[in-house]
Amino acid sequence: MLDTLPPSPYQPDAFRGITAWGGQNVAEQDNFDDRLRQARARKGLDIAPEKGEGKPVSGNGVGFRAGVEVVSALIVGIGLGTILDRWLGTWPWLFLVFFLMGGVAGVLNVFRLFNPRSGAK
Amino acid sequence: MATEGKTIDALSQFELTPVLGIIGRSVGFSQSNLHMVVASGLIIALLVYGMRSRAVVPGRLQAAAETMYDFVHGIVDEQIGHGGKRFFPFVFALFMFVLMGNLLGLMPYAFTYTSHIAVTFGLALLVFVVITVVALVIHGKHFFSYFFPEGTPIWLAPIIIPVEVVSYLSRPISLSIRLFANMVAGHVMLKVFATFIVLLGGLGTVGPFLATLPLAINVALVAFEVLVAVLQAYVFAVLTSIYLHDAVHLH
Repeated sequence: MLDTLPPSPYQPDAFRGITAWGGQNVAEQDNFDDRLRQARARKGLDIAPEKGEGKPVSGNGVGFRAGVEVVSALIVGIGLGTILDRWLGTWPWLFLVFFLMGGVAGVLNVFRLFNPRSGAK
Repeated sequence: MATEGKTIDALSQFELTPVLGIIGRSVGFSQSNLHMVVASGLIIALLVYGMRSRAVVPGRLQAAAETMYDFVHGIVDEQIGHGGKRFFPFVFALFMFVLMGNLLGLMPYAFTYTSHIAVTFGLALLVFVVITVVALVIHGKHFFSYFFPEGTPIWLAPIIIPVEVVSYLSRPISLSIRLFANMVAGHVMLKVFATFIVLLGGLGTVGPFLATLPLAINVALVAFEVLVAVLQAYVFAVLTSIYLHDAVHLH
């Protein structure tokens, strides 16, 4: 896009530090390293420091998101429990256990909505 | 159609009917499929014709195409971080498909294919398979440590592991339900208030004056639905990127 173009096409950055007698001053060299680092970071070639991400920024719709998270975890819990019960013939015990697990996972999902897991690998 | 027998029939708009005559009927080609094809064609047309001139100062279509590209590129860059570039085509395709479906569904006589859980769950299942395969390819067996975070007391394993597994499996469900529920709710509301206009309009002399109230609400709702359509496509893309970030960095 436009902002990635050099500021002026008539004076490329590569020639900017060169003085009339062909010498290159040290300050410009440092500047080049700086700019190289910035460019690499911008293009994602270097690992940038992690930012806090994934948080719902606006309050709008957070409630709906939380509700969906709980309901979907419950659906998965109930579904898994029912399937395992059909398979193993233990109705309704695994269903009850996984129903609780679904509820716990729903609360965990809502918790993660506001505190994304980070840090330890 | 909505006021047959003076009742509110808000759900018939989601029914599938075969199109393209006998061929469509025999292969089950519904208007939903037709709209998917149209949406894909519109996306390709926007990108191909929009970027044909490749001007430094973009025209309208090129600006639209570049804005979309930049927008999704920003999401992918910000959410996935290092090594996220290679997932850009995947996220971009998903975003454009969902966005075009949502917006196309707001046109008169059009059908919203994202209002069917089968479609949204299909997309979410695709995301789920991709993030799982990516995590398995990058991390191998180490991927399973995701379900038992380091530093957890070992006696908590019987509780933590099923909870984490259920939480992981609930991702495609929540992803698909969010999009589907938003689309259905919006279109049902539009239809209900549109029916109010017709029903109130038939109430003798005061009817037409009363009918302006639901009409005003519907005007506001259409604007709100445009917002929801874009917002839900954005949320779908952001969540896909967050899941991909988890898959790539595994924490």
